[in-house]
Amino acid sequence: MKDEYKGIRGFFRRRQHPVKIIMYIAKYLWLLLIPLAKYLIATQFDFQSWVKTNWVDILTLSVIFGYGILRWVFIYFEIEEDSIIAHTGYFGIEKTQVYFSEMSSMSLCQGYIFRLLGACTVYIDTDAKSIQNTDIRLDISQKQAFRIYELATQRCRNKPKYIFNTQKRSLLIFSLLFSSTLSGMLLTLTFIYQAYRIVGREIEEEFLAKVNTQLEKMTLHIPKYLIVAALVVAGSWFVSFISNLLRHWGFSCTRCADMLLISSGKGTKRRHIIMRERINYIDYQQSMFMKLFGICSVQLHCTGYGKRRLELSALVPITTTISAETSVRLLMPNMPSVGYDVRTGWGDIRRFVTLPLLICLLPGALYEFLCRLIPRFEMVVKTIPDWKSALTNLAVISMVPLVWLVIVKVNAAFHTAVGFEGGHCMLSYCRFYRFHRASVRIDRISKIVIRRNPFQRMNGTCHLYVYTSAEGSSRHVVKGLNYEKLTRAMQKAGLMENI
Amino acid sequence: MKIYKLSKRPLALIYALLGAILFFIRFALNLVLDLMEKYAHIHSSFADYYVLLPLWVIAALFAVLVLPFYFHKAGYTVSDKEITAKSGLFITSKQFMLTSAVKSVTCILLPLGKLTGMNFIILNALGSRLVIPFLNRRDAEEIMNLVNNSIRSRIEE
Repeated sequence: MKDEYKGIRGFFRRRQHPVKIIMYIAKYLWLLLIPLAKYLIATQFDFQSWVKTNWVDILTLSVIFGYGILRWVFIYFEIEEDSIIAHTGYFGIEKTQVYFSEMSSMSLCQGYIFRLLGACTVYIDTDAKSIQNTDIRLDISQKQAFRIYELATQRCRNKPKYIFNTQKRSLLIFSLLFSSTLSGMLLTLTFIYQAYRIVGREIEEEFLAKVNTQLEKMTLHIPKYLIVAALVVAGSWFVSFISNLLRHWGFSCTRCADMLLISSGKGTKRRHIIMRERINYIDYQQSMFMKLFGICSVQLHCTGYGKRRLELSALVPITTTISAETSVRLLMPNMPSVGYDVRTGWGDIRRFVTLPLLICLLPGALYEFLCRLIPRFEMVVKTIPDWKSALTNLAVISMVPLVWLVIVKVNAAFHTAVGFEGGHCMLSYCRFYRFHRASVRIDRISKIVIRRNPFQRMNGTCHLYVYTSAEGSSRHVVKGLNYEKLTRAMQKAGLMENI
Repeated sequence: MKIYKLSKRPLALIYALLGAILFFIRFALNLVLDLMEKYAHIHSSFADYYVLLPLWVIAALFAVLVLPFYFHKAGYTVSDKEITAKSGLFITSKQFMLTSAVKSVTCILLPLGKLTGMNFIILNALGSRLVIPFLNRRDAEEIMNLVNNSIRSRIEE
């Protein structure tokens, strides 16, 4: 393989795609390029006077380009039969060699622009903690990326394959019904922030002023803040729906040898290789609505998978619970179904809903406090004459998610449980509005904590915290379990013998 | 199975530190009040009754109740299979870490650690860590050797 890296062709073959030069300097590029272009247009393309006036900026821009090219030259890689060697960091001083057998996951990502340019981003992660975010990250030609993919999956040749594909119709319907407004809002805010960084404050303020003018026209009969709230909720839901659809369109997961090969995405195409032995846990996730309709999605936790921006770590995207369980049995046959040793029930409802009920009282208390405080500020009363009705509407709107939380927590009291069997641990719990059912291998658990406050010591309950292997901190919190039953179950499973 | 208890020697250091913090707060408060005297008259007993007295009460409770109980109740066991830690006063916690999950051990032995009991062991696992604080030097070295031997024998297997 070393012969192919000789000569000029070899020089380019082991370098990243030339588009990487632009990516290195993109952050600084817009700051100088846009004003320079504006001056050039203002001088009506009189290059002589443009150069005379802006020679410092032009020189700086040239230095920035030069830096980008130098960085591109110094970072290179070599592909071996069983490993990849990457020289990264400033001036390529960091040399990382990752053997395909040691990696926990590998991802290939191609957005629209990269597809047009024939480029592809390759991420390789292992369970070892590296200096950077990812063990290896390279933006290389599509041909080289697929070659690395073939080498990493050569164990799968001539081996039986078990494939799970999403049904497009189900994906469309479930995404329509169960997209999350919150995730859509986060995506929209990310987009606005990135746009602000590129176009600058002036253009953004101009845009917002135009939006405000349009809103003023609509607010003859409906208060402005209600229209804004409705637009935000509907808009965020729509963004979440579209991004879910594009992300999971064409999702397919194949079990082959000791790997899972996942491909998905319509806009940004993604391919992942995951080593099944390095999977930390799988997690069946449902919102309250999804639970009522028997729908769930299965997430997979493995170093590197799902940690990039806008990437979800799905094993089975949104589908019926029965279908998800069948698919998981197909894709991970070594994962046993574990019964529960400790469960909460009717007697525990009070413990689950006390805090959410107290939080429900907060909007009312705040409303009363503001109703007494605001009349003392004449300026506020004059500026917002209908402040009381606005406050009432806001208080009612803010009560809705809190009341929903109480309903979710009542349900959580019947779906909180822990079980240990066959070297696996099943944790069923509710975190805020989301229900989780995590199946963790006991040898992937890094720490277990049992915590009790004075009230829990009186009523014989506890909170269980299970930390799983992860680059950062990954923790499952199961609340309100019976302490005696839990410790007995853990001792039976060979854990916490010296309790 | 040996239970490792916390060394009582750090208590003296912690009490000294607590006293130093309280005196520093007193000194800083006097400075601030002297500055504010130019703009507004503040009764001198305001600082004593509403700031310092509550602080001293909290510090006294902390020093007399919380710290001694914490040092008395905390206990750690280390074996080839697992490491357990029990600690806490009002909110008690029991931590359990499989020795096979420990990837490395960090041992912090301060220069006067033999006298002050300020020796710490940090057990690093993927995704979490367990801190064993305020050990005497001999216990810290014993725990470090036990865990490192376990890691070594795992590698050799």
